[in-house]
Amino acid sequence: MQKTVSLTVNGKPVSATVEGRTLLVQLLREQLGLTGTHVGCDTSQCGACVVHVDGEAVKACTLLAVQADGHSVLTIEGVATGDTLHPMQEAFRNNHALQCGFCTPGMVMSALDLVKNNPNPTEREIREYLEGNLCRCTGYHNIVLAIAEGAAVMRGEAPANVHGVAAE
Amino acid sequence: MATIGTPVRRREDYRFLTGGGTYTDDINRPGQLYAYILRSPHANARLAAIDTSAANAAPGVVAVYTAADMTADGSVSVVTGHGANLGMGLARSCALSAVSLF
Repeated sequence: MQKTVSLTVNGKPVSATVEGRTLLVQLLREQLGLTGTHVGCDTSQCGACVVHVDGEAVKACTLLAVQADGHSVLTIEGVATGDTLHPMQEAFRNNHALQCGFCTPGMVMSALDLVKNNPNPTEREIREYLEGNLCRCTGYHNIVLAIAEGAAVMRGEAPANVHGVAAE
Repeated sequence: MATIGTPVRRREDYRFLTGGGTYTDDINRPGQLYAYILRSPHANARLAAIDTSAANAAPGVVAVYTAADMTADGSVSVVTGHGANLGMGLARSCALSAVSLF
């Protein structure tokens, strides 16, 4: 069964013909060429494929493309403004919160979802929220620091850890 | 050495943070083939035989390679008989679409 879907991706209207079984992540990666959204596990555990649909964080491997028909999708490619990183992306860079970078898009998208609902999360709340995002470089500590800093900057506060070397 | 003791920004972070990294799974060329390695499901077993006929007949499959092919090619990356340990590669197939292998 083929179906034409129309949705908004990173602010731009797009249409594509998909199979009924096509996952949103397949539409994004294989048909729209947005390969920043990663497939790390195929089992909805790793969180590398997190995108926002109508402002809500979802794992794009758990949603069919047809379910996104008529909705608005934000991927990691749409987070920065031109060449200027979003404060959350900047905080990841400042805190060396990425190594190989594979989990990073999902981490950033989850972090933005957390901060939208909880602008001033505690370290514990950040760690709990990251339950659905796996990092195999084992970089969680700096990821938590980055999300705290990104949240602070998004609240209008100065970054606490400008120079990026995480405290032990 | 002015950089010693000062933070140095990684060159790759910007592209990783904006979805611009290129991992092998991101590569999508026209006519690209996908390889799948069949691995031993047993911790320690003797490989008696491999029947590749069903794999070869599957739609989209271009080639199925076993130890005989790999040995002829000078590769020893798949097992030939004894000592098929868990996770060792037994056969490798290449197909136009990964989906068609399942």
